[in-house]
Amino acid sequence: MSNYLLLIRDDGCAETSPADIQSIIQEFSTWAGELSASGKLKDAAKLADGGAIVQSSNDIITDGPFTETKDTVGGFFLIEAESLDAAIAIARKCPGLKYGSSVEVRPIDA
Amino acid sequence: MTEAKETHRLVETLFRRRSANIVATLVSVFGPANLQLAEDVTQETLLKALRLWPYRGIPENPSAWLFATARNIAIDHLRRDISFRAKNSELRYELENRLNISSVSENELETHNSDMLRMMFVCAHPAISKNAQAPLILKTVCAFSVTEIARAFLTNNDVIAQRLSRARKSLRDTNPDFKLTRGQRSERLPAVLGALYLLFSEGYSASGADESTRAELCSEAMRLIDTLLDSQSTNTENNGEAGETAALGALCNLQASRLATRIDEHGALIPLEEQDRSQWNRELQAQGFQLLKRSMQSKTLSVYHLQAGIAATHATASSFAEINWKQIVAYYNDLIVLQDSPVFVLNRAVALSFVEGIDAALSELTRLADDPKMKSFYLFHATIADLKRRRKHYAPAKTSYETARTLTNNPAEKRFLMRRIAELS
Repeated sequence: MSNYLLLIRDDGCAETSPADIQSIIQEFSTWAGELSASGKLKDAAKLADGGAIVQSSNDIITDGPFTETKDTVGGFFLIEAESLDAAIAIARKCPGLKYGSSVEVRPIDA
Repeated sequence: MTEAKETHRLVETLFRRRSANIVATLVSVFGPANLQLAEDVTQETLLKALRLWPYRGIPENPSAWLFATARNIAIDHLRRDISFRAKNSELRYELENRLNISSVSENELETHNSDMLRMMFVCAHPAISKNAQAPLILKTVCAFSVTEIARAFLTNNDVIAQRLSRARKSLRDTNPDFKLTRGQRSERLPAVLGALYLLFSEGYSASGADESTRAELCSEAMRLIDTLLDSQSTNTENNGEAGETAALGALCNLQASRLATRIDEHGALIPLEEQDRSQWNRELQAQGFQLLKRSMQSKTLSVYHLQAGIAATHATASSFAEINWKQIVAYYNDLIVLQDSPVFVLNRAVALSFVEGIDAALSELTRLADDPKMKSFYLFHATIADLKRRRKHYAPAKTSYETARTLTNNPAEKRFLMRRIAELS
């Protein structure tokens, strides 16, 4: 068993209807709820807007990733799985995928 | 978040309903001219929930969370927008009062209902194009997406988006009050009833949605009609208006009572003669008949009265063989006098086929053959096909069924038509 980080990148979907928003949330609730119930969910959090990018000792600080950018990570799920394949199988069921989000699966180096 | 969270189940229509509540409250506070602002704040609120709840879980009191978040976002907008500077503290006070945790309690429900009703009537403002009024109600009060509205009106998203945009501009230009006079409400009632019937029809026939959505749309429509009727019933001067609303309510309840028997287990439409009448919902039927009684307080019969009459005639027949088609033809005759719609003529022809024979019905339909709306209406061709099938003219029937099949995207309708085609092959 190892830990894997699932990084969720959103598509934006500003035009989504109230009914669809509710569907997505309900599907996430079920997906995350099952992971939690089986003990596989270690942590999850949404990343807030803003922040900063700090580079090198020259103290270059740029404003952090903006949420309008499609490639920005919106949040993460830290899960436990038997293998990368198992982690990917879990990621494949992430409800966000249906609505344009992508999930990056990274093994935590043990 | 490391401890296991209970999976909450959101009430089926929660987001639709709260979206409508928040829009109505914000329009009440900021005025109809600021409808765009109200919609933006509402959408921002829902998107915030969409981005946060998947990670944190659904909150204990989702409605309270939504209202509080909407309040904060609205206050933020207030602070940043100079046009509100003069009324800043007054508006802020309103927002804090109307969008807080107690707003979700049962006693506040009445305020929300009145605001929703007022919102419906705002959307029927005479300065707004007739073809934009129902879409606007569907968007703001029924929380339809532009896509759902486009489907209901058999058009595309751009057309609807443009109509909504112009409607908002009309409200900006005329800057009307949120509260209306009795006279204004009377004037606008037809538009409001029309939109509610469209909402119900979309649920009943569901051009694209799934089973649960269909039932949800129907019950939303019936709930809003109920709310409207309640508000009208306290005012005895409006007997005729309450009667018309009751007629619409009767129509919807009677039609909804048949919903369970419309579609079979393969997802195909079940024709009336094959529907299992024992499965018709008795409670909805009873409500329908009660509302029909109430509708009799009107002095004149509206299209809703007549259509409810037709639905009642079907509901009282204990079998297909016992349907009083003569009565139904009579109702259609009156309907066509009120509103010369080809759809009514089409439906009348079906009823006529059982009273004067199929040939009489078919010759009625040749009158409609040149109407461009009918040529592209799947039901027109399906009706001709059905009449020819009953007449045992199988080859022309099959051709008409094929035409009908190409004209509909509804899976239940398609499956039914394919079944008929297969039977004739």
